[in-house]
Amino acid sequence: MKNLIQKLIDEAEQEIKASHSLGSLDSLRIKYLGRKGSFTTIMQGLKDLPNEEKPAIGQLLNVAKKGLESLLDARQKVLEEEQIKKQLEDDTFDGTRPGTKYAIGHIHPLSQVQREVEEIFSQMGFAIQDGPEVESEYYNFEGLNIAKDHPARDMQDTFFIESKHDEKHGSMVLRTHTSPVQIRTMQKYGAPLRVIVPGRVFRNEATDASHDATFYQMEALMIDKNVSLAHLKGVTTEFLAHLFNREMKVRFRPGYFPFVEPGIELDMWCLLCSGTGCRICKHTGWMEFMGAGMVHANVLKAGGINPDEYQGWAFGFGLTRLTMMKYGIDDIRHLMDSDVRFLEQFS
Amino acid sequence: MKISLNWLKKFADIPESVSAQQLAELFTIRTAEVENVTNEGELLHRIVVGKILSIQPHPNADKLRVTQTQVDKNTTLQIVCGAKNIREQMYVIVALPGSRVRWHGQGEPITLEATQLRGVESHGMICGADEVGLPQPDPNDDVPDLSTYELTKDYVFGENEKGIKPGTPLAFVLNKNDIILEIDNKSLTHRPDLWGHYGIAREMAAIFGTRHKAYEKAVQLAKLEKLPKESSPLTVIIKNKEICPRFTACVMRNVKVKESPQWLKNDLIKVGIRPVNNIVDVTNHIMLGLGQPMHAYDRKLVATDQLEIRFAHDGETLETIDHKHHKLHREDPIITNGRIPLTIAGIMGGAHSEISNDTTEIILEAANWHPATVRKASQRNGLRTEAVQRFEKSLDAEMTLIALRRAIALIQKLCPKAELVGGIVDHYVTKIPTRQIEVSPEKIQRKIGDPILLKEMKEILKKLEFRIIASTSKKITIEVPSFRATKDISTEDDIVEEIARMHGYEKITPVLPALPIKLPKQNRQRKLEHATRSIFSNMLHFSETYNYSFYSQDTLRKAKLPEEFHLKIKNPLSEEQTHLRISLVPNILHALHRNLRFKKSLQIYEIGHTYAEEHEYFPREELWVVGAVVTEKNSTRNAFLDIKGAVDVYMQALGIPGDDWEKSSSSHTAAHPHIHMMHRAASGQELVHAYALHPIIAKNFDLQDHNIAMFEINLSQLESQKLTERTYVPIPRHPGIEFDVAILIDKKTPAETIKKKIENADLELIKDVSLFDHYEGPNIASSKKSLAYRILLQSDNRTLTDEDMARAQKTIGENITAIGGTVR
Repeated sequence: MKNLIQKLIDEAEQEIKASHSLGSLDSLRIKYLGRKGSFTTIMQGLKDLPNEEKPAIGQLLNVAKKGLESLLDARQKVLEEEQIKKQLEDDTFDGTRPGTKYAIGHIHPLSQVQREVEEIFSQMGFAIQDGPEVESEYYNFEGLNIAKDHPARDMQDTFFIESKHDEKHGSMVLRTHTSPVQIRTMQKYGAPLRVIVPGRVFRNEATDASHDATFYQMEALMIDKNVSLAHLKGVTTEFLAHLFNREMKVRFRPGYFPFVEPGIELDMWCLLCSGTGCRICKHTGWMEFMGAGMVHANVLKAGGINPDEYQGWAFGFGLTRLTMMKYGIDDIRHLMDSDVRFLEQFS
Repeated sequence: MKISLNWLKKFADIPESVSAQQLAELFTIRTAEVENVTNEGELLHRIVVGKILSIQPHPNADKLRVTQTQVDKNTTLQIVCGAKNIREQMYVIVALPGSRVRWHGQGEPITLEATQLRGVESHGMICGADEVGLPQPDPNDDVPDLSTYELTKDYVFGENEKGIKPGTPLAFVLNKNDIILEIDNKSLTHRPDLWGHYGIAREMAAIFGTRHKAYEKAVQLAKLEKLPKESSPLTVIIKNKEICPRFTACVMRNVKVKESPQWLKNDLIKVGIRPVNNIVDVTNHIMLGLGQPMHAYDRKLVATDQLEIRFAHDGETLETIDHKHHKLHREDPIITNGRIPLTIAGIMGGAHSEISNDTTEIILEAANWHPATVRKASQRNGLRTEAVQRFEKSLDAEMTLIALRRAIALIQKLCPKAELVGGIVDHYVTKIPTRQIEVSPEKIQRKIGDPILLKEMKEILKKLEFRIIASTSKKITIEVPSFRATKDISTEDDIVEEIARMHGYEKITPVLPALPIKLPKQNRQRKLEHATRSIFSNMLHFSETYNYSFYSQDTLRKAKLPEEFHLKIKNPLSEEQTHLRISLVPNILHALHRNLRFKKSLQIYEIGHTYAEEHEYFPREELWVVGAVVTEKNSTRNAFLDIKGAVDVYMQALGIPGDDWEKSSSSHTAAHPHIHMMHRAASGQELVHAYALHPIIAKNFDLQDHNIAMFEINLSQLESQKLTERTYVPIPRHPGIEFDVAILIDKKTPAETIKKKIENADLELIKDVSLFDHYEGPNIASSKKSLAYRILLQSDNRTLTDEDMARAQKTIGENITAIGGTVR
């Protein structure tokens, strides 16, 4: 009996080792361990053995059965892996093929830059304030200390709206800067105040590659008891350093705007040479950036704030110009003509 | 504006140790922007006058000769030269090694070195005019012959040049030893006192803390006590006093009009003014020097010895000296001789009384004009002159008499026989009262944010000629000098600026203000804008566009928008930009049209303002987001359904409550009459519209060949809606059952109706009804459509059975049959 079992084991082992396909392995499993398999038959014959032989043979059979099963399983695993390997060799899929093109959307570059600037100022505690694009002469000019015969008020720079006139407010215009919102904000919230005002503005100017009648500005206003030019320098340096992600210095030069006194032209370190001088900055080391200054007493008064109690500064820069500078856009008209081939370049 | 440093040095001490570049930078930081610095001499460094002592033929080249040229008192150099016109004893231009020349006037300048030419050493170069950047006097000469000293008008000789010698730097010979600063005019807008060399010199002296001469001491002026005792033959009548704060004039005779002397021409040419004749040049020289524009008339042509100052009458005419004819306007300030207009005051003289070579008697005028009047007249007549640029800035009226006295002295210097006829006429109509300002040193410091001692403040004021009348630690009383009192300095803040800039803006240390912990007020609309962009661009692959705020009347009519709600622009740039938009749709349609030349499908949107006339003063301005989808012809996509699906995502992502879509009957003129759905807010307002583009509108915008749908969302109204917060819904614990239902039904039955009928079959268990196929076509009856739905049955608390499914299917079948459909 023992010999029979051993012979069967040896035979099975050999056949299993020699098996080369999953199909033949399946057949072997059936042949030996199936319902009518040789091993199963022997196990069924166990009941006919003398009792004293049953335990030993029984155990032998169990061990042998387990051994066969694990051999079969092992061989199965090997054959399965071989099959996968063969499939891999035959697989001709070309991984250098281009990936699936997903349809993606685009956010306008002006929106992106505006958001970036807003986030920087929000972190410095500035609220974001918006105002109407259609304004009165009062808010756009007189309130900002720009007198009636000031050059900026001529027809050639401002768009006027027909049939609109009011005693106090004067004619209606398309705002030429975001500064009117300074007065509206002061009137609404009083001092102390820390706001930025982005927005669309309009100038009656011929359009070419560097000028458009419609463009975007960003305005900032900070008013409190002791706000000074030193704070202006500090905040603008911090803002520009963050925006351009580099070390930054600013410088003030005397400038003139009716709504500030002192009035400042603010230059920043040349982005290419950091103050040493190069072709980009005409060897001065500085790039013009924006106008600024201490808010004029008349403007504070128009905003309902007492200039003897509070003081502050304001600045304004071209968001459009900044956006063109950041992305190297050479024609301003791209920003407003909705050409999808332009818009698709920005995510 | 061009400024000559040598001219400035006549009025003020400018430290020698300061380089031109440093000077420019310092002036830029303290006062006004210097855009450019030209060092005339630099270009001619190491280029000298040489004298050819001998000429020998070149052993190896026929066209070359070998010269021995003396280049200074003790040095003679061997120089090889190919010029044909050289001869012994000739004075020539020699470039020494180290100088910069252009070979034959071409290309970039190179640095000259000693070299060998065809085997013979040459230690310099005898230059052609173009090689040193000079114009060629005689085209027949290869190299200029300096021996004659008499070159053309283009070469300007120095006033003190007595004779040239070997070694004389060419820069000296040609009087090119000056430094020219170009100041940006825009940065001088508020400084009427800086529009002449004298004012600039005064300012520079203040900057450097050096001395400057009073104008009367620096130049010769006609002495008041030496003027003729008789009054002037001139009668000056100022009819409109508001035009002319001050008018001074005088008559001179025995004047000989001729070319100005070289030094005078030099001064003018250097700063970019063309010399004309001695009289005109004198008036220009004084304008550039003192900063006071002047005018000279031919007395005989004026004829009446009368000058009348008034506004013109509409229709009066004048021919100006540039030979243009002007029709005058009743706000134009003019000077007449009592009969006809002679000049447009403060702007340009008339041809009628122009100085010519025959003039022997002149009337000189130095006046002060009302700035806005001159400015407007200049624009109206299209005449922008050097005089206008100055008068419009509000000049100091004190300068007029001084200028006149200078003119008299200068003309007498140029024409020794010239003399005054009678004395000076001076009508000082409006004198600006002396201005005093009180300032608080503490306030000044507080505004600047940098510690500045009272002592320094007073020093600065003194340098700027502000007279300190009284001063304590709390208050300084200052008297403003006349040349700063016309416009620039009137308030305490103006003094803050003076102190700050002269102290030095660069000295201010940047300080960051303390940050309050309280967060700034939130801008809800902005958050909504960001969310809108995030959803449409990042989630849904739309491209954000920006369009103009205006369109044309033609456009609004094509879009069938009501004209009466539009604001109109009085002075539009073009016919395309006359009306302010009340809807974003038309410009989006234009944008679609432009893009469809290059693209077959599009999805774009814009967030922007509309402006509607409300018959109040201010219009109603609202923020909208409007978008469009264009699908390719023959595409399986349906533009309207794409739009509707996109808006569904938007609504869901924002948590906008409100009922389902409802069919819109609102009069959105661009919308297809029955493919138009909308959402209302809980309060009933129309928030969202989605529609297929009306075919007539499509045709009007030349978009008829495309499948287009639009959405419009009023963000201003959306902002005030309460948005629902998302809450978690527990994941079902028991599996659901999905099955499909295919329905054949009349085309006209709305999908909404069918869906509701299916849902009603088992309101508790039917959790989702999803249409996944919609077929109309030749395989079924032409009046019918075939729809396939996937139904999801689910219970929250038990596993479903086959009976549940069978029951649901049966009821669905009944409901569908009831509305005339068949379940397949």
